[in-house]
Amino acid sequence: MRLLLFVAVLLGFSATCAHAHKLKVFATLEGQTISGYGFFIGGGRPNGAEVVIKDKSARDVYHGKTDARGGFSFKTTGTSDYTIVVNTGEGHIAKALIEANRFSSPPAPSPTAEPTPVGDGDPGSAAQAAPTNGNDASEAEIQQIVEIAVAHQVRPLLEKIEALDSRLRLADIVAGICMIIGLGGIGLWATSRGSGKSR
Amino acid sequence: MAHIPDGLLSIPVLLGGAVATAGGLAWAMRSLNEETIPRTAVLSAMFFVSSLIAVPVGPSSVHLMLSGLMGLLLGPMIVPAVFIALILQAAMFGFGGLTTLGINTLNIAGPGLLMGAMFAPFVQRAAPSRAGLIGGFCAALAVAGTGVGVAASLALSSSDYTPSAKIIIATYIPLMAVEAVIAGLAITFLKRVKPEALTLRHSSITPLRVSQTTFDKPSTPDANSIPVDQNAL
Repeated sequence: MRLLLFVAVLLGFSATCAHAHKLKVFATLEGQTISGYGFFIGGGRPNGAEVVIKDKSARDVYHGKTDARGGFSFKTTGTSDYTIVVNTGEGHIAKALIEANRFSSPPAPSPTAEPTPVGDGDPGSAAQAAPTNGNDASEAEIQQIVEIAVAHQVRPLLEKIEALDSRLRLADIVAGICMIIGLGGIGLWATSRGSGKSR
Repeated sequence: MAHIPDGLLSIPVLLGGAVATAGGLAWAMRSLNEETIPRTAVLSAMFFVSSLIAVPVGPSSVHLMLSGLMGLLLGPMIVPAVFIALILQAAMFGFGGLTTLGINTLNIAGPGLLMGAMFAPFVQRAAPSRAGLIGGFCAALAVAGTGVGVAASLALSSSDYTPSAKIIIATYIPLMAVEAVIAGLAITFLKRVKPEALTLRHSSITPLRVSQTTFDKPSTPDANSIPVDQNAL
């Protein structure tokens, strides 16, 4: 029993540097492009997992697979609440929501909008694709360019926040173990109390 | 994998899992005594920690469950062991979810309990190395049972989430092998060093058959069961 306890504690400490398990989706909006990646908390990306993007009416607007780094990218044609679902195909499913209010005011018409190839790793490409007409840029266009630029700058921060939010903390793991031991102690106390009284 | 999050499963699947787990917990309470509690707590802590550590395999990642080993060592107490650990994982790390606690417990503890009950008599009788082999086989089957359970839970809930058999096989087979090795080594070791740890089911954990007998003849005093005094508290 002591050995088991020792192994449990050992596993507890090794867990801090090991991979953890839950699948999550990071998704962000730059202009009209939803991009992001699936990731397992602690490390690892779902390679070749199915990606489905649904609009508000639960209609599939994009079907694809994640690239080697778990990434996906999709240029939207309208404004809606988009739900991104990443499914590894064996029980790991994660969702992320991009709400309609994150889209800038009337989206630039883009009749040829097509899903961009999966794994378009260069976030700057969206900014380059934005319409710019030199000095003739309208207010709406400037606003859109600014929004894309801000989204581009903010993305690393959002990624960092998502990662911080999803990490396993040693304190939590130790707290969990102590909680279980404590519950065991309560159980022992309760049973000894019960049997003591009845004797 | 085995930690199905909230919001994916249909109500009947969630309810079915919750009812089965509640029944399992109530049944396990009959085996609660001074000897089973510390053992359950230690194995629950091991499960809590080991199922946090996952290794990427292909498009997915897998983690240990130790359900076969827990089934052999704990018998019915595997249900509270897994349940408590899953509550903590859901509350602290958001792994799985609170609404899916029942079905997740069923998917992990159920196969462990069944396989443990099936193989425990053979493990108890066998020599250490042979017991290890049987224990490994038991652990591998328990993992396979969990794979089938998770796939069935998702497939029954929505055809969108029906897992692909090919990916399940690709991810679960390595896990079955690793679990078999770990359980095999642990059982061999326990059999050599502390063989009574594996025979506990016959001495103080009330196995299914004995509990049935106790149930049929309530007047028979059972030395292994803890008398519960309703007025004690």
